[in-house]
Amino acid sequence: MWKYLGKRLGWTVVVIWGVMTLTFLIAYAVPGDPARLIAGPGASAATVASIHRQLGLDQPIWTQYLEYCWRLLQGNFGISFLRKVPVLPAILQRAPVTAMVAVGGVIFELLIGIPIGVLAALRPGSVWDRVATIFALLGLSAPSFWLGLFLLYYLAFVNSWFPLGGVGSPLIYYLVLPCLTVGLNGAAWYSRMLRSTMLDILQAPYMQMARAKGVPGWLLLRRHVLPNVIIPIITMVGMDFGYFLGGVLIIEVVFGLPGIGQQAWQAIQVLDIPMIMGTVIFAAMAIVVMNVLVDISYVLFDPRVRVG
Amino acid sequence: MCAIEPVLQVQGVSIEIPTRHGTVHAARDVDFALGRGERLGIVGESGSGKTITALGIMRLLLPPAHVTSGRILFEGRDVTTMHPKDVNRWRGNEVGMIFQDPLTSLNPFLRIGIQVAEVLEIHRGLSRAQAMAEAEQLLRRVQISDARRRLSEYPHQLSGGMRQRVVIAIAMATRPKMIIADEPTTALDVTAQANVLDLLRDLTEAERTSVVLITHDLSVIADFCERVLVMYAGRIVEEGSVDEVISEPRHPYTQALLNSIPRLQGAVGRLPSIPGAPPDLTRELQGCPFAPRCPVAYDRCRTEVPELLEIGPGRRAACHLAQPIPSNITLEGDLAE
Repeated sequence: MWKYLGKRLGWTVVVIWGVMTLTFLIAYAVPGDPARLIAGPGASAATVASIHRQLGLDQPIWTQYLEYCWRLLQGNFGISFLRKVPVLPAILQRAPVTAMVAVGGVIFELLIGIPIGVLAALRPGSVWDRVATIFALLGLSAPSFWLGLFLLYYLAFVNSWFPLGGVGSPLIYYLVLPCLTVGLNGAAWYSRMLRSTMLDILQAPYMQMARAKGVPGWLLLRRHVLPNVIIPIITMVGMDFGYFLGGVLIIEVVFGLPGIGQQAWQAIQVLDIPMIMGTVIFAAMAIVVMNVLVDISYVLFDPRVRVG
Repeated sequence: MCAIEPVLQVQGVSIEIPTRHGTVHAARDVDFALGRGERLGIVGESGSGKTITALGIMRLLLPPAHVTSGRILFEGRDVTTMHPKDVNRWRGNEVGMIFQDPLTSLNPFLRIGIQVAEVLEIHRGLSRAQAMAEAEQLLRRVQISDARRRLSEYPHQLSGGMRQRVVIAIAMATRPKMIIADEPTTALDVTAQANVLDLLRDLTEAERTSVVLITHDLSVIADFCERVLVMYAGRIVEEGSVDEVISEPRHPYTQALLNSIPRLQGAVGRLPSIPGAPPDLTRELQGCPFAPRCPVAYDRCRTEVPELLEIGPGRRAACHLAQPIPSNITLEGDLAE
């Protein structure tokens, strides 16, 4: 167990290093000069050159890379080109909003997706199953920016049930629509996945055996089916949560939420390389950590993994 | 005719499965009875309708498969029209079922203990602690060593033979009147096969449980059963005591099945197999469904479906060549001599 965990953590470091290196290369391959963007369109060549010097952009790329690695090892993510503040505190300061959208989004995914998927699987081919299929199709094909604007228009603009965006007090009131947007898109996946997983389980020989034992319907579902779908659900929740933590970019932009995604969005526009790098590394860490947690949870929920 | 009331009477049961390629007639007019304490074998190739008949009896058919006609009487009650709640009270309580593959018939996420104990909780109203204590006794009865420890283990920690014995313990937990065992030994290695079969025999004999044993293996039937039904293409084609059917088969299909059993004595050579393939079950019968593969088929076989007729005491066959008893002779009179 501990050996396994140690190995996993070792790989985690390798993955994050790989992501960091790739992002670094991409950031430098992008045409455009951050110094010129900072200096503004009318700046002289001398000003641009001095900004270059200040930011260390006049060094050869491999020197910059090694310096970045060295600082990163010390926990220093650098200073934002744009806002002149340390990157890591800036990210951590905005992380709670993103985390709340992630948690709320996952909750909506589960609340909407699980009942729809379970009911569809219990009555395959029924009217309800078809309604669930249509819901899933809409949920999967509706882009989140469109869905977000749609909800904003009808639930915040036409009927003023929710605020039109931003954050305020009470915070939860401002988070409902963004979370619902995340949740509706995700619930479509969950309902599909649950439907197929449950259909597999319902046709498994051990379900036939359970029916032959005279296990009544509700107990059949609670004892023989639901524990067996927990694993795929946990897997999806873990992946989603890690992914969302890296910034639900579109949602944050549409709803004007001051989260990691919105900050990254602004950083990309002015090639604020330290901020872009910091956000990507933070996102990669969130995903990798969630994956490790999911793997650990298998040990808790799947008896077959526990031994051996 | 039967001195004692049979436990199970299957009367003219047909099972159909509507599919895109037509309706599969999985079982056609299946008709038999099972006495108390009797061990009946059903033998046939895959697709002959033996498993689907068993599932039909247990009300375990998954849609779209369904019983289209006939009655299934369990101690006089018609199972086909029973309320689903009563079905759940009946299944696992008065009848037990043993499935083919012990590797997949236990729930991989549940401990052995709860899987055995739950039948006792459901049908006998025992508390968890009582049910667990009895589950431990049951595991001992099916000769599982270290029964107490096994209660808290998961199926994957047990060998195939042990798992099948757990399944038997579950099926026997409520002392049912009847057990349906669908290929209970097929997935096991040879030693485990013999053990499981012996165990099943001992337990059912002690409890006077009636058994329907489904298999494609006539040697298992010869070893375990008193009476045998031979099924082909969803129909019963022969019935009789195991001794009679094996020593003197009256249907060419039974003969062919017997020929394909490997023997220890005699010439070593290619094992005879039955030429041809089982018929397409979506078609209506034109003649005897076995005719295309039958070595002794003649014109009548291809045009007229042979009825399943009584050809002797306790013997039936669906073959134009099997001689029925002439109706003007009373059998009882002859035997009374």
